[in-house]
This record gives sequence, structure tokens and C-alpha cells, in this order.
Amino acid sequence: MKFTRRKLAVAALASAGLGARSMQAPAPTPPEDPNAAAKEQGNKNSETLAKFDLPMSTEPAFQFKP
Amino acid sequence: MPDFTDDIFFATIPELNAKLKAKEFSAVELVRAFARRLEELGPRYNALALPLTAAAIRRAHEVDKELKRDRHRGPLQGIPFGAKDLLSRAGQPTTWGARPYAAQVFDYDATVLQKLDKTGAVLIGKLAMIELAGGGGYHTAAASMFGPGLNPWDRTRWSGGSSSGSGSAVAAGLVPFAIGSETSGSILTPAAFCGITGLRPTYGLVSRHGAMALSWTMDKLGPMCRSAEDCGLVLEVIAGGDAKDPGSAHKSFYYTPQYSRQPKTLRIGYAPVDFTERAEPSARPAFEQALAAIRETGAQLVETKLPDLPYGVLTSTIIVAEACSVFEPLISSGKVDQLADPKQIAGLKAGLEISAKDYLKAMRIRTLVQQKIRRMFGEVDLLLAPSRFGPAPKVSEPLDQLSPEPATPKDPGMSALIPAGNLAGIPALSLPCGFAGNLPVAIQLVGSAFSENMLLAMGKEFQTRTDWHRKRPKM
Repeated sequence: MKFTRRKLAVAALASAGLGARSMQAPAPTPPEDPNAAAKEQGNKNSETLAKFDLPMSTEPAFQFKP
Repeated sequence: MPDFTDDIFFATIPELNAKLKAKEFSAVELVRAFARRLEELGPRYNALALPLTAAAIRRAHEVDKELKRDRHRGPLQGIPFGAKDLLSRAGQPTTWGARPYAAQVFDYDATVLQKLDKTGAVLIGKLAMIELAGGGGYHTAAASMFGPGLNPWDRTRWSGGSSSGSGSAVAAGLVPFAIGSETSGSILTPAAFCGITGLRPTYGLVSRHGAMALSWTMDKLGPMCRSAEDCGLVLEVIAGGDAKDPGSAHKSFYYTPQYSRQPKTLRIGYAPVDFTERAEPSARPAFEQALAAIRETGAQLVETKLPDLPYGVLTSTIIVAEACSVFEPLISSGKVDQLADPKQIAGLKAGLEISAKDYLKAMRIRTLVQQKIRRMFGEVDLLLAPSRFGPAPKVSEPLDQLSPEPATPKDPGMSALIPAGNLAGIPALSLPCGFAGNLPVAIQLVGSAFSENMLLAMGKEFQTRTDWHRKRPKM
């Protein structure tokens, strides 16, 4: 994979919490464009997850014992 | 050849078993009759993926020889069944409902099929499904290489997904029972829309070896039948530990409803809003009657609601992230474009971009889901809600609006019980409870992990007081 200066800058901003996606906020997607709609849904999910506060001690449910 | 009437095609497993034992017909005759019906009527509902008639008749001959020697293997011996086409049968195509896998053949049997073979049940066909069990999300009922699943109660309506063929084949009397799979709603939804009884077992209770992986941490296999009792009989056979399934709970299941707690000792949590404002108006009378029937059992209904958590976002993130890892070669190769549903294609492509950060966050919040739901079962024994809030939608309608958005409603009640239950890995039973117009609607009972006997006992009690599970569509 080649890293351009632009890609590195975006990655640095993202890791600093500024969010590459919010820098390039997509315009509202027309429903007839499923690719754009899927990406927008992914972004919305990501935002919802980011807003959710968790105790640091909470581990992922990998040891899955219902 | 005996005269096989609808009374046979819509009989329960114990009824068929009794007739086999009484030699009213042989296993070969029974299998031949169901196989012919499946081949003739299955395409009418886009339910049939692959007939396995010749192999089934050979197997039925062996069963008859065993019965002649009084070698009894249990109530499923000689009973025909169908399996969702994500279960591998050695040497036969296993398409996963998706065109890119149309020619796929495995050289081994799925564990559930091995177990059913061993008990003498006879696989007569593979049943249609939503492509890749709908892992990327899908927009229409036609998201399948077999075409849209059509509902036997009204062929302009959807049979539900992703176990579409399993739902419609049981409802139309083409098989006495079927095996379906659920990652988030794929057994409960077609069971509800088709008016049959479906059980989603606890995660890990039934081996998934030989089944298509969609989401390793969410996938379950389960029975779709005519009654709660039938579900119990099938589950007893297919449950059990399996070293070939890394998610196996290594537990067995014995169907013993007689030892389960009496309904009058049970506390059942429900949200009234689910049965009133949230339910479609046409379905409300049926749901009210279902609540009344549950009350008549003596069970105590108590108001409750799910913990406020983003269930929809969690299931979407986890399922799509895992599915995109499973299907990375399909997506990267571009063959994903051969799928039928543009939303599914787009969802899988976009899913490759889900970050580790988001997946891990979702899995960490899932830990809270499990903890909080486990705590709920300290207050109640079972949860009760409509399986779906209305009847099957039209085949021509977009499906995106089927589920209410669980993250933002004013009074969510238990509208997110399907994703919540799947995230928690707990069992659920869908029971037909009446009609909205000419279409079936259903309630779901949800229990704590490995409480299948309690669920099935309550389901059986409900079905002794109602006859909705006995209704047949006009063919």
C-alpha cells in the first residue's frame, strides 16, 4: 500500500479525534445510491458507538457465555 | 399407496410417528408423498432450492427395514424434513442462496444433518433462503437466487427471511419440519409471517459445523415446526456439544416439558405499548387475545422494558463486520456484484471499512447487553412481545421499514427484543397467535440462556389453549 502525504494527514487527524469522516462530511445521499447510503449508515453507526461511554474495564464479549 | 390428505401433510411429528408405528403407511410412502408435494408446490412459493428425492427414498427404505425389526430410534424416525440451503450435504450443491456460490459442493454433512440422519429423519430437500442470509442488509424480498419467498397465506406477501423457504415449506405442508438459522431474526420472522412455530436456541446449543458462517458470534441453527412440542422433539436431536464448532456450549438438551415450572408460578415481562400503539392496528385484536390466553395460564404478566442500549447499531456493526471478514474474498474479487440485491452488495462493500475501533466498541457494549439482560431475568422468568408488529409485507414493498428504529423511539418498549435477544445469545420461541386480515401474526417468548424447556412448556400450554398453530392456508 502506498501512503501519500494526504492519506497520512487524514490518518493523523483521525487518530487525534478530529475524524476524517467529519472533515469530509458527505452530502445527504439520495436513496437510489445504495453505496452512498451504506457508507452513510456506517458513519452514523460509528458516531453512535463513539458517543457511548463505557467503563475502561469493560472487555469485549469475546468469551461468549450467554 | 394410501390416500395422503391434508390431515397428513399438516400433521405434527407425534401424529406422523404414531401413524408410522401403526403401519397406516410406510416411511417410503410418507417420504414419497411429501417429496412429490415439495417438488410440485415448492416452486409455487420459491421455497425449494434442491430436491433430494432419490436419496430420500433410499434412506426411507432403510428406515422401513429398521421399523420392521422393531428398531426404534425416536419420534423423528421416518419423518421427512427440509433444511435451509446454508447446510452442507455431502456431494450436493449448497448455494447459500447466492448466485456466486450456485455450483458450490462440499464433501461433508453439516453436524445437524448427521444427527437427524442418525435418528432416522429423512432429508427430502434443501430450502431457499435470502442470499448469504442477508448479511449485508437487503432491500427487497427478491434478495435471493431463488426469487422472493412467497407466503402460502397470500402469495403477494413475503414469507420472511432469511429462512424464507423453511418458513413457507412448513406452512404449506411441504415438509413436517425444517431447519432454519438465525443471526438476528431469521427464524422468528419467517415463522411469524408464515404462521408456524419457530425456535431460536441459545447460542452454542446447536452445532453450526457445516453451516454457512455469517457472524461467528451471533449465528444459531434451530427448528421451524408446526408446534412447540415438535420444536422440542427436533431440538433434542440437533442439540449437543461438537468439537467442530468453536462456539459450541458443549451442552445437551432433553425435551422434558413435564418437569418445567407450572405457568402459574411464572412472571412474564412485557411492555403494553408493544401490543397497542406499536402494533399495527390490524394485528392488535390478535395480540390482545394472545395476552388474554397467556393470562389464562395463570402466569403473572408484569410490565417491563429493555435496557436503553443501541441494539440496532450493535447488531449491524457486529454482523456486517464479521460477515465482511467471512466474505472478504467474494467482495474483493468483485464477484459480490453477482448478488441479487443492490443494498446487500453495497452493505458488504461498505462493511469492509468498519474499523477495529467500532467493532470492538460494539463488542464491549455487547458485554453490557448481556449483563443487563441477565439481570432482567432476576426479575422475570420470560419476556413476551409480538414476534413482528404486523403481518407479512407485500413482496413488492421495500423491506427497510420493517423494523422500527430501536435507537430513537419515544417509548421503545421491547421493540428491539429480536436484536437484543440475539446479542445476548438467549433463546426465543415464536408462536402463531391469530390473524391480521388473512395473514398470520405471532408472539415471541424469550427466556434466559438454556431455558428452552421453560419456553417450550409455556409454548405448549399456550397451544393447548389456542388453535392458531393448527390453521392451514388455502392451497
